[in-house]
Amino acid sequence: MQTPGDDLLDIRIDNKVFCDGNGEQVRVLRGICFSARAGEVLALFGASGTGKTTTLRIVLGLDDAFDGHIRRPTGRVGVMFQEPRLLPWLTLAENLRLVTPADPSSSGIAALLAEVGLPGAANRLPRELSLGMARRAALARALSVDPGLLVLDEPFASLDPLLAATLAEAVARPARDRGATVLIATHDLVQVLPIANRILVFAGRPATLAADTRVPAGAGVDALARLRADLLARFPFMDANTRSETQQERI
Amino acid sequence: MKVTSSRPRAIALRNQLLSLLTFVALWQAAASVASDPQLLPGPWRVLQAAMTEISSGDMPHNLAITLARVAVAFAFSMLLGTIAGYVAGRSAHANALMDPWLVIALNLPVLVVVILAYIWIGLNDVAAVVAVTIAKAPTVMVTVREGARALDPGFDDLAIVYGVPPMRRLRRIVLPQLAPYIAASARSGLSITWKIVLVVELLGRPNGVGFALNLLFQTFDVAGILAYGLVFAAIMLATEAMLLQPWERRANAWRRPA
Repeated sequence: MQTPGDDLLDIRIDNKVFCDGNGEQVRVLRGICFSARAGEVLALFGASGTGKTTTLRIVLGLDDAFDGHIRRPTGRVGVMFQEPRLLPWLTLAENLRLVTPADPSSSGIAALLAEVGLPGAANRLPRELSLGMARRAALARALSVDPGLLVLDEPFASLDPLLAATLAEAVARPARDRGATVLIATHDLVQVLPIANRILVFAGRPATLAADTRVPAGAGVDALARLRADLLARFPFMDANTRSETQQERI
Repeated sequence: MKVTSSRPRAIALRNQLLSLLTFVALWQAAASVASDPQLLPGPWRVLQAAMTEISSGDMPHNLAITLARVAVAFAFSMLLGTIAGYVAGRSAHANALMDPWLVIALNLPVLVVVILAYIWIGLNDVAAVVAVTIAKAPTVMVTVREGARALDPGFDDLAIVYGVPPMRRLRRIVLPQLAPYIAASARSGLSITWKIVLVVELLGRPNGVGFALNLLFQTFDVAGILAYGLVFAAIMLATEAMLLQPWERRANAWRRPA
């Protein structure tokens, strides 16, 4: 049974350090503090190396070596890592069944795959897919658990704009329909602005939370374009559409 | 390199048959040169000896007993070696604790293990199986430990985040990654296991192929020794070809290019 606040994601990372190759400690995150309510879509926006993926790992419970505090909402977690991480010896249907507590129906799996643009692919092995298709299958897997918390690391990378827009809608649906909290790490504002409620800007070294900007509800295309232009002007490290990234951090 | 199409496989089979025929021809030539059937009987004479042993019922009886011992000892050594190897590969602490034992076990002469097992446990099948398991499990452990160290940590993260139940995780995530290592240790393990079992039988069992070889040795029956040895080796090779190799191919099927 949920108690008031069970659906709240609350994160405070006072300090997070890594050991570099020389054994020296390097501080990567400092003073990251934010909360998210049920149904909110938060975009963690910043250049590569600004700790977005590290923050997601902490949220997922995969890294507990940090100073701070985290409180996750109850319910299942759906995740899409930067690389698809599909088990290569399982078909797509088996990959989805692996993570779901109850055995989903074949028609349910087929519908999920169709939703991410992979109709009729349930019995295909990951090696038969392109990278973009494999990433979509990983998104279907994340959605298959009916998540209370959905964590996505660069979900729209290596996808064409039209497909990315379709998937953005699929990502937003759990938040809108079932009150899931959604965290999206991205350096591409174009795809996330239409679905995000807030943009959290990660910047600096060590990275800090440089801005927490609310996206006006029901904002039109022009308003979103102005918001994007404003963010890009304030934080000129810029997004995928203005500068190609040469390095990508990985979960 | 894997042979995947039927034509290269046919060529490989033809080459293997040619090699086998060459071996038989050389054997026959050597037997002719030796011209002493007691010392080196030819293939035909050995075949006759095998038929005699088979028709008398002695060879099937001894083979069945030895195969049973091989099967039990093989199963125990694979099970214990796989579990120990997995634990050592996943935990540095466990590895540090087990490694000295492993080094001792790997370097202990099999004969010492067999003799001690008979002295401590008694001249029985339990001692025989224990001795073979102690002798074989360490090599399985070494191979599986390498496999456990090579497990993809990304899949571990996946299992943690999604809360995949332990048995499902073992069956769907861990074992498929370990399968090539288990298969490799099984293939080498089977051949080593049956050789050790023969020594165990020769030293202290009243039946089995090792026991039969001991009797044949006492009468200097070289044809009988070769008959037993070749028939038993053929059965082990057939087991590997018909059971272990297909299983290994199946375990690796997902690696084939699309």
